[in-house]
Amino acid sequence: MAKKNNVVAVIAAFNEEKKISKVIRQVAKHVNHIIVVDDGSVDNTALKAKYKKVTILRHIINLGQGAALQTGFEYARILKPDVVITYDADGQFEASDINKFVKPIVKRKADVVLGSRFLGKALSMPQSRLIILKLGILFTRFFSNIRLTDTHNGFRAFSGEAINKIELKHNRWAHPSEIIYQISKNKFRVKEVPITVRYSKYSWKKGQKNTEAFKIPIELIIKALVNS
Amino acid sequence: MITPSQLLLASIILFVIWRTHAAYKKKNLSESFVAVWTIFWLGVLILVFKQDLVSQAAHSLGVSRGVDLVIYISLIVIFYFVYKILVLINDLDGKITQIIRKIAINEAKKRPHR
Repeated sequence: MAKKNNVVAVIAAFNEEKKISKVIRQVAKHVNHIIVVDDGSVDNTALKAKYKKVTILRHIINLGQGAALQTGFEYARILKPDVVITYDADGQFEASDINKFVKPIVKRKADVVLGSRFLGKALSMPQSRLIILKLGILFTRFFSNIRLTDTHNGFRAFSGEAINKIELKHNRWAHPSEIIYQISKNKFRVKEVPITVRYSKYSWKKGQKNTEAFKIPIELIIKALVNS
Repeated sequence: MITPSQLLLASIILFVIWRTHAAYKKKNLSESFVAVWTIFWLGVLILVFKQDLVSQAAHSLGVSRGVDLVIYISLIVIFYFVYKILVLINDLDGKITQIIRKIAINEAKKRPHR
């Protein structure tokens, strides 16, 4: 399905030289084009990301995952995609799940497809992360009015039309909440699909710290205040 | 009679005015900013020695003590400045992000094999 339609994957990467190469090889089997946004890495991420089908965009300084995704979206629009997938660079996801995301969009049953580890499997997930994620789901549900089982998950898909309307202003940790608000604001049809998320020592070290989750409401409030 | 607290406050205000003018001489500050800043601090200096003026203003606004009025006004002004600084930082952050994004996309477009 991915080959017939123009499926583009956007991968934001910051100091991912150990994993990026493997992740790209896995994702490349399921998409037509990969955009890797090297978000100011100080290691060899950009070098390791070189592969067929891959375009590397380099932020000269680190801006954050939200900013990197928006850069990827803006470049993806040039490629006139049918589907844009967002995928984490740390190897937590299973690339074989990509087809589950593509199908509802090409069949025009959804504008946005979100991965849910709670409908699928979250392997080796620490208990503390589970609590933080559940709090995040409640927080996002309260403010966006969308009932989802997983909100802070980097595995998503957008239709070509939807990606033209997504405009992320939050550069750092608040961007997953912002995506949900924009889905709500644009009245996109959403579907959740079960995915497998595999926590490892590496992904735990690389990913968001539990304490950083508390910065999200503060970031959202400050941004709302200054943009009002 | 001049009290020690009035002397201390006056010294601080004069120091601020002196530093402002020193910065102006080094061309770090604009003429209009120096004028407004100096007038503001001279006003504060007058109020330090004419505290009955502050007390009268406080009473007319229903505040019991002059010093309370000064604190309330100071808090409002500080909150306003913090807000303006947040807006400025947010604006700068957005502009920096756009520049870096443009560089990243343009560089990729230039490459023969994207």
